[in-house]
This record gives sequence, structure tokens and C-alpha cells, in this order.
Amino acid sequence: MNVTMYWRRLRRSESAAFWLFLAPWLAGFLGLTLGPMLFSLFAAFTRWNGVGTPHWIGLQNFRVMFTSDLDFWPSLGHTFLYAGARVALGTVLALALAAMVNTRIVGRTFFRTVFFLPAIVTGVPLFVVWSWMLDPSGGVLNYLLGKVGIQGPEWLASSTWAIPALVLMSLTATGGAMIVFLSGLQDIPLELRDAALVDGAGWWQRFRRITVPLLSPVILFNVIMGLIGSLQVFAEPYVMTGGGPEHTTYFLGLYLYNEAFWYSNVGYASALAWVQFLVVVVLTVVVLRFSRRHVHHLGS
Amino acid sequence: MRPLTRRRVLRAGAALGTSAAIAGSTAACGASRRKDELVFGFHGDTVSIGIYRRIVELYRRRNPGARISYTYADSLGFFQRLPLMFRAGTAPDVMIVAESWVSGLSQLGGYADLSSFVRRDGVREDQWLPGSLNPARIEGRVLCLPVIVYPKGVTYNKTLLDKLGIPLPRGGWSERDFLETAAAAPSGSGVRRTWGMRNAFGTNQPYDVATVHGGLPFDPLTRRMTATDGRMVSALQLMHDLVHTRRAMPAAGQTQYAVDFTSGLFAMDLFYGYALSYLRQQIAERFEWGVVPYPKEWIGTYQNNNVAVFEGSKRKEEAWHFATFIATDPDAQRLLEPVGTPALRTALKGGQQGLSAEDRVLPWARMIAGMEHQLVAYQGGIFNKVWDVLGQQVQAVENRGAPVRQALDVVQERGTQILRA
Repeated sequence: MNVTMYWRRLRRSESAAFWLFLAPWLAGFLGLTLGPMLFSLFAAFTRWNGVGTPHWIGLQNFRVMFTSDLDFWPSLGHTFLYAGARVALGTVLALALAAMVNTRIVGRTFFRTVFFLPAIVTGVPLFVVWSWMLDPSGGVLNYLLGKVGIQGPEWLASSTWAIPALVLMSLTATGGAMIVFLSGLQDIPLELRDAALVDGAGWWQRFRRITVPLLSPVILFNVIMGLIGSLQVFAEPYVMTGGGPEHTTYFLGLYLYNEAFWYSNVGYASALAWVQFLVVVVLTVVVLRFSRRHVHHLGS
Repeated sequence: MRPLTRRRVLRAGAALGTSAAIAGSTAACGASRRKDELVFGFHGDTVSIGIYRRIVELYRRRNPGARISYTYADSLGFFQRLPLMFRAGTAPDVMIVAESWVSGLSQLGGYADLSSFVRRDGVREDQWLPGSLNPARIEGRVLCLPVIVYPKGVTYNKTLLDKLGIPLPRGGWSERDFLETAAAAPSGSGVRRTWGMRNAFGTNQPYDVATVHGGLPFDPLTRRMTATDGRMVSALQLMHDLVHTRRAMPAAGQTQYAVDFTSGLFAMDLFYGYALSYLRQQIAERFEWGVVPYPKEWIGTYQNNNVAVFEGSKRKEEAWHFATFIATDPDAQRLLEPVGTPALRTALKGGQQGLSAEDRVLPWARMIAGMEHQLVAYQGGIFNKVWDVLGQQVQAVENRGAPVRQALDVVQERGTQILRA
């Protein structure tokens, strides 16, 4: 057997192995992700209650959504409000915590663990416990506020405070972002900071001129991930508020869920899902575009 | 015979593997519905699940050779899966459905019309409690048979009312008596504040607001909105007064999370027949409580559980046989007592023996009598959207004192748009 034939056979067997190993994932992706996505794209142009035959109605769902649906724009607005507040405050807090546990303080490992701990407990149990904590009359939060002479708000029962309450809850789970920031901070060459120190730069100048620019790729990553997660928020309002009070936490994710599974408007819900997807894509592209001028990659 | 090469072995192996995978997945799909057995679907908590399983065992004993398997889920999960199961043709042959699901999902064509079976077998309506077939009758069809009903009343905290020196509610009382009791009970402040009435109406149960005085926000048959009807206005005004004028009830959404009647902070609450075991377990010996029928002006929402047959069932005759067993067999009906009141009159003769002595003395007869005129709050599909709009406006009235008329005008207008669309 000459060398050419040997390599050809090897390549063929490698190719077979490649497809063989890829096959389970590929089957799952086609059957459980791409297939349903394409079907939902079709359903978005139909009137369909999930049971009968879908009726093709062209762009009618989108026309209704943008022109006469009284829930769509408010729910989109509330989603933006929540996502904006959560991403902005979450990023700042995660960065502050990372900077704090990156210094040489006593009990550094302990604090890193403590700050990361809430990120481990997620999902419905956490939301139920927070619902109890935020209870206006029996909750621990208002009890503690009462101890220092402050009458706590009605949190989830108040149209004004419901979104801030959900943002507040989300801030306790910034441990994941903090860890990413921490690794970013530890990647910044010490000699740059030392050189700045020698040049007489203060703490704020070093943070602003060295840390933030060199950390900007990490900030970008956290902002994009946070944005994608926040724009799809669903479980929190589903468990904690049901979209209330007075629809103030009726975010887009909850709205499309209700349309599909509560009101049996599967066609319309599919249209909402695609709009939500496009919103996420557009915002991500905008952030990436914006980042071109503000994100600095070390060595580039 | 051709020689057995490695390539042939591999090909044969691949073919065998593929066949096995296809056969396996086909078998898995069909595992839940074997050709020779009936599938029974039900929902509820662990107590309900245990009871329905015992009913299946009883049926098997009575009908040797009957093959029944069962599937169950929590109530909300079961309700949400039903449309998909109808679509996929995988709904159980026989299923337990709440009254509101019958109307709400009837447009999907999943429930078999049982009228011909009822006529053929001479099934009499008067064997069940009054009003039991009301939820079943949709556009001239009979879509289910009654299984259990949930009488409604008002629960009161005897210990708290005695402590505050307030007379206990009595049967035959009026709405005025109710308001006086509710208004006299609030005391204290902060986390230990006591209230006259728990708000079980607003956030999750807008149905109970609408039906208090016998109103509904829409007519489910003509699909016309009736949200500004006088009964709706007076019912929402009652909520408004309880929250704002008398300060006897927290606003919708307040104190709903951690604190309910079992906390002992509420003098009164709505009583639902299905919550009996929950109340007993949670309150235990902490305080004494009792139940009275609704004030005489109140109507309320009709709630029960029914048994329906899947339209796509291949075994309708057996399904009907099993469904009638659940709805008409006194022994099967008595098994259900811990989770509801049997709908069958004969099962109730001699008292509800399945209940504890202290539960048996509750005013069941009067609460059951009150069910005859209660209203079915049609749910499912687009009706849920109208209920959500009503819930939202109830919150506006209770949370920030929005004018009742204005709130109901919004419901009327938005509901009309929704039903038209």
C-alpha cells in the first residue's frame, strides 16, 4: 500500500468517525432545535391554536402586534427597562465585587466563595424564597427595614416597585459575572499598573486608564451574555408575579408563553418569539458595533 | 454463500443497530397506549393521585380482565398539556377535567359528545347534586359526567373573633353582617396586623370577584362582553370598599405570598371544598375555625371535577363504561370524599363517612344547596385573556383605588376587542 492510498483511507475513516461522533448532537439539533425553529417560523405566519390546522394569514400576526396589540409595546418596554437596569447594575456590581476580592484582603477566598454562592442556587426555589422575603407585611426585608425606622414598599404588590424588586433579586446572583471579571483582572499585566504607579497615577486613574480598557473585552462579554439572558426573562415573573401587578412585570417572554399555552394562540406566540429573537440579535449587533471603538484587546 | 468480510459484518451491524433504534423508539412511543388497555388521566395532589389509583383498583376488581393504565400530573400541568395531547392524539381515553376546562377546551374537539351514551343507557341527571351537569352542557352536547363538587363558603377564625369580642358568623347571614364582621376585625400593625378578610379574589381568582353577585364579564355562548353589568359593578365595588373604605382586606397581591388564612392573621377567608385537608393539616391545633355558607346575597363560582372521554379514543365503549363507573358507583364516589364532595346523591346518604368527625359537622348541606345557582367561569383559550384583563383591572381598583366604573369600562372595551379578534 503506497502512502497516498494510506492517507486517503485514513482520511475516509476519520471522516466517518467525525460524522459518527457528531451524529447524536446533529440529530438532537435538527430534531429539537432547528426543526422546531423552522416550524415556528412557519407558524408565525398562520392562525393556529395548536390543535387544528394552521391557516396561512401572511403578515397579519405582525401587523396586529405592531399596530393594535395593547400588550405588545408595554411588555417590550418593561422588558427593556428590566434588562437595562439588570445589566447595568449587575455589571457594575460584579466588577466592584471582583475588584474587591482581587485585592490582598484578609479572608479573600471566603468572600469569593460567599459572593459566588447565590449564583449556584437558581430557579424556582430561589424565586419562591424571594417572594416570601419581599412579602409586604410578613417578609423579612420589610421587617428589617422596619427595624431601622423605614416603612418598606409593597415590592411585588406595587406597580412602581415590582421591577426594581426583580432587579434587586437578580443582583444577588452576580457571582458568575464576578468570576469572569476576576479572571479578567488577574490577566492584566502587573507591570502596567506598577509603571503607572511609578508615574504617579492614583487609584482612580489606574482603574480608569488601565483596568477598564484592558478589561473591556470581558465587560463586553458580560454585557452581551447579561443582555441575552435578561431579554428572555421568564421564570421570575412567572413564579413571583404572574405578570402583575397591573401587568408591570408582563415581560415579553411571559407574554408569548401566555399566548401559546394559556390563550391557545400558538401562531401569534410564534410571531412574538421571532420578534423577541430579532430584538436580541439586533441589540447584540448594536453592542458589538458600539464596542469596536471602546473595546481594547491586549496585543492587538 | 459469500464470504463473511469485515465490511459485511460492519454493514450488518449498522443495519441491525438502526433497526433496533427505530423499533425501540416506536415501542417507546406506543408504550403509554397499548392496544388492549384503557388510559386514564387525572390530576391533583398526592392524596388525589392515591384516591384515583384506588378507584382504578376497585374497577379492576369489579371487572376482571379490564386493563387500565393511568397517567397523572399536577392540575396546572395537566390542563396545559391537554391541548397538545388532543392535537397529538395521545390524550387519555378517560380523563378527569375541572369544570372550567370543559368549556374552555371544548372548541378544540377533544372531548367526545356523550349525549348518545346518556340517552342509550338512560343515565338520569337527578342522581347527582343540583347543577352538577351545568359545566358539561356545551352547545347541546354533554361533554362529561360529574365526579366531585366543591361546595363554597366562608371560613372564619373562631379563636381570633372570640379574642376580639366579635360575634361568630352564622348561617343565613347577610352581606351586611359579613361587612360588619370584616370591618371589626382589623387590629395591630406591621407583620402581626390582623385583617377582617383574606383577599382570595383579586390576583389569581378574578372569577370569584365577578361571580360574587352572580355576574360574568362575558357571555360565553354569544361571545358578548357583559363586564359593565350591574352585578359586576356591585361585586367590584364590594372589593373596593373592603380594601379602601373599611380597610378590612389587603389589596390584591399584598400578603398573598407567605401569609394565608392558616397564619391566623385573618378573621375570614373564602372556603373551597378542595382545601379542606390543607386547612386541617396547616392549622392543626393552633386555632379553632369553622365554616359558614356564603352570605345570602352571594352566588359564587361553580367548581367541580368531571370525567370526560377523549374524542380520539379507539375504545369509546370501554371508556364510557369506566367513566360512568367513576360518576355513578357509590363505592367509587365514597372513595373521593377526602378530596371533594361526591357528586352522586346516594354516596352522600348517611353523611360523609370518609370525613373526620369535625369535618362532617360543617354545613355541607347548605353549601351544596347554594351550588345550584353558582356560575361556571368559562376558561381556556381566548376567555383566559379576558379573565387576565379583568384580573388586571381588579388589581388597579384594589391597589390604587381606580374607579370601579372606569376599570370595568376598560374590561368591556378590551374584552370586546379580544373576543372579536
